[in-house]
Amino acid sequence: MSVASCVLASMTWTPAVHGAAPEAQKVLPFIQDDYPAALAKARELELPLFIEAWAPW
Amino acid sequence: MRAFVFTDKALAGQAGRFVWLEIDTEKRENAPFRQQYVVPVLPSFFIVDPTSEKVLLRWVGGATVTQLQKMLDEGRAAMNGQVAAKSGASASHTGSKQAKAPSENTAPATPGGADALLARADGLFGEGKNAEAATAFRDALAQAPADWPPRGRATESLLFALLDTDANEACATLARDTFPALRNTPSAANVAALGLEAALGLPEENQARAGLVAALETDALAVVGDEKLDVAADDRSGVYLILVDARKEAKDEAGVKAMAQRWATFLEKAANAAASPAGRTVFDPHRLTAYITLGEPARALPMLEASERDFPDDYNPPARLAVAYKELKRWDEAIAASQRALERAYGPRKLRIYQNLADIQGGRGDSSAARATLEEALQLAESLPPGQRNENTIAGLKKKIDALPVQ
Repeated sequence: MSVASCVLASMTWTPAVHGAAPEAQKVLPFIQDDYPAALAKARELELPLFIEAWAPW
Repeated sequence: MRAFVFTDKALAGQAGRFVWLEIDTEKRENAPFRQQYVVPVLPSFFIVDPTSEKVLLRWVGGATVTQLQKMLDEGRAAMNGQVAAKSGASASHTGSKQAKAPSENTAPATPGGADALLARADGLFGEGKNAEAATAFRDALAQAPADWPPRGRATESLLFALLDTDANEACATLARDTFPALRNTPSAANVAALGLEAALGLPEENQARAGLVAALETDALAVVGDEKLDVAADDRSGVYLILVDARKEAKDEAGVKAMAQRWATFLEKAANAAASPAGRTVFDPHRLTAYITLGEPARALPMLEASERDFPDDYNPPARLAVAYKELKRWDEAIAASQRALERAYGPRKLRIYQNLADIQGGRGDSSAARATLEEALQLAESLPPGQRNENTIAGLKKKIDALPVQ
């Protein structure tokens, strides 16, 4: 496992809306609604940043 | 995507290859993001170089797990191409943390080759420069071999860029011409749907219109008729939607009903197969549209009532119930559902709920209530920050207010 995945896997993920799937099923460690934090983490880990822009509908 | 794709265990190996961020574009705190990144449809996906904040790849709309995996691989390759370009190095990035990622095809693109042209196209597309991106995507596709892995994605992006810049004939023609090669790929649905939408958008006097509509309607029917095709359920549903539009354009009332019934049957089957209430609810908006098209909005009530019970904080089920009750002219229930939705809603989406409520109040003959609702909506629209504020929406609200009878 890479350094990046250790760090990211430790982040708490909680569903943003009730339309989202149950937390137990999530396989990717999404950061919620915090672009500056995600950008800083991506720079630190030298990883590309994947962004999902969505809305609850 | 959220209920079906991001939950797929096949993606677990991707976790350490990216930093993952989700942005609810309706939240006020995310308005600056909307200013920085062009989000033409929801969902949209971006792969970004964190150093420059340059968009390496943008994907608009839903995707299957297979499509997402390819997108991620191409995004990683683009990122490594950026690193190589900055360092003057070749494919080797030994010593950087990126080199510790799982093995992958990350060779930087050859200058002037299809991959380099695609990288340029993706950059322009990511910036929302769709006319220039369309030219660049065409250049990349012209240079690429027939079995070029990004061909499907590049074609879909090109079609979207053409449609978005009103190059409808070019979009429809490209879709018709490329569909046979992409017929058995996950790109088939978007190629047919984008092409047919573009063809239907052509003026009646355009001599190519009838032929393009006929060919692309046939292609779209082939997509919805092929249950084995690896296509995202929402993409397949989107094809049904445009097929209904095609029958409406042809003024074929029986055809509209028949297609809407096929659509509803498909959606009901997909919803019944969903493993969770969240998965089932994904299909609510299209099911509502299909039922309204059939003239049977009451069919939506049980599913929407179930969704509201399952997700009591979500504004969508009561907002959709309000639409269904409005169609049924059950004004009191429509108003009550609207009020429940407004209590839970936030962001620009709330404006749609206000507008539907005003229509309900107008339908009941209470134009003073409708005026008050629209004025409240206008106040909200004008208070939204840059990135969420939409001048066309504000102008539309003012026009609706002015059109109301004075009591």
